[in-house]
Amino acid sequence: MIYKIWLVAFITFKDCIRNKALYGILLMGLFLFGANIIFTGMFSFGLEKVAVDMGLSTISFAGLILIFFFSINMMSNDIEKKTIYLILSRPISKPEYILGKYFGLSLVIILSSLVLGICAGFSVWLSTTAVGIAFTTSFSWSFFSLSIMLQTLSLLILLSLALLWVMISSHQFTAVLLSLMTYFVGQNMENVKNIILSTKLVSQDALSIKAINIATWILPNLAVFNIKTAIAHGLPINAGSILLSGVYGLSYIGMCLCLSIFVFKKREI
Amino acid sequence: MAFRKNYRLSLFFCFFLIVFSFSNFLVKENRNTFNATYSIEISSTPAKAIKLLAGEFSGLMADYLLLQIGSFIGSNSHVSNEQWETIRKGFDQAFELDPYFQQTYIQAQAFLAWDANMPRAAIKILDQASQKRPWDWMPGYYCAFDHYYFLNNFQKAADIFLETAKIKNSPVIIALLGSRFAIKDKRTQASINILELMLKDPGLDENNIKEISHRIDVLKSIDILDLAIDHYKRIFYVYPSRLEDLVTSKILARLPENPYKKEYRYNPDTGEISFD
Repeated sequence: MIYKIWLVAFITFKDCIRNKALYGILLMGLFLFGANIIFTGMFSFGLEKVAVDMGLSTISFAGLILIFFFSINMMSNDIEKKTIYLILSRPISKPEYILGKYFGLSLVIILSSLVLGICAGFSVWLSTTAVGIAFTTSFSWSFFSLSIMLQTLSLLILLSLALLWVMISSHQFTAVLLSLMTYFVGQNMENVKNIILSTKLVSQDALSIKAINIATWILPNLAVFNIKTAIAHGLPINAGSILLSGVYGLSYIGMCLCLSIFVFKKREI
Repeated sequence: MAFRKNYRLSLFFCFFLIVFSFSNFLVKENRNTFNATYSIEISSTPAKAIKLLAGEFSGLMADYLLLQIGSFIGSNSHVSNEQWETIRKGFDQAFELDPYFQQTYIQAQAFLAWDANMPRAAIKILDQASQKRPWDWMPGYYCAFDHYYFLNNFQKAADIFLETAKIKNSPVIIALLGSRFAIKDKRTQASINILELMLKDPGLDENNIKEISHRIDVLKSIDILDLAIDHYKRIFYVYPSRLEDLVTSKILARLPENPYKKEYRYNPDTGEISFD
């Protein structure tokens, strides 16, 4: 079974690498890193913070484009263009196909994060240390890498959800729209709850708070994986909470994959 | 050959190229009067809600807002009150997006407190910044300065200076400033306590130790004089007309000395002692 999953993953990965759109996204990422050096030079204080902000945001941005405009397209094309028959007519089961597809696309996202991460690190170095600007905060390259890892995990969660939406909806556009909504809600539900509670106009028992609390059990809290501010300012990071975020993310991916397999098994192609 | 085959297409292309070149030239001429900072575009969205729009890119959005504010102010000799209000909103939004960013409070202090005459708006940001950046003495220092300079609130200034002086590696001058304002507010004991605490810092060099010790001696002397003046007033129902009266009335055996060998300034109408 693992060999078959690996086979589908490898084919998917190879297919993605052949696609020129991927290079376009990576090129855009590289362009943004060039912009990082110019943008950082416009500030007088906390230059390292601006450089880190821009570097990490570029990785996230490129990853999101990769999911919304590339991965979803790759996943739904198989179904819409009926190329899935070619795969499923071979001794490959539906769960193996789903898992292979997910891991193949995950490899692309991990590769993109790795390449862009190296570029981000280089652009941060170029706009700070290389021009003689010392880090004023307790910035650490290992925490910088940790932030990239968490961002990648957040992208992988989104990818698993996108896969689920592709399986549920019959149209690529619907899947993109649902994934975008999921991303927006996942990023902001914690913030919305804090804002509502800070106004002190509503109590903990209010309907809106209950709705958000329910949403936190259905949708992933993507803000958990966003430690950009802490990294940029060299703020202390709790190892326990990072570990917990990892477990939280991986378990959510697991759930989404199970649901995708379940839906795909029931679905008539 | 290729041109002959596609001559119609080429003609169309040339036509559009000419029209584009001409219009582009006019557009450039037209836009020359504008510059990037012609107007300031800051959304009227409440500061707290702006974070929702920014999502995980909140740090980057804060950077952009500050850049926009800085370039707008830098290129406009006159900024109207309405525009200052927009800029204040921009600072609030930038702070909400990234409360740890140093440039936010430094620009807020430079522009809001000094240029816009909005010290209260600057103080609000500085106060929040000092809570978010407990390792940084600068927001507290500016905040105390604004209370003293713009709002004439010596008590608050002294409180903040003395609180800021507790931050590790803060310059000794902050504690000294705090102690001066504390004298004006007759809270010398609080000031002595802070300075004595600072003396225990093993990182202090000799000069700083000497400066702090001298300031403690001055404060202790002022404390003695304050108590003596109060005692004098309780007996004679007026403040002494000069400090020597405290000795002639046998309240003090002699006037306390200070290490600077300078005279204390005394106001007989209010009974206030000052020492700069």
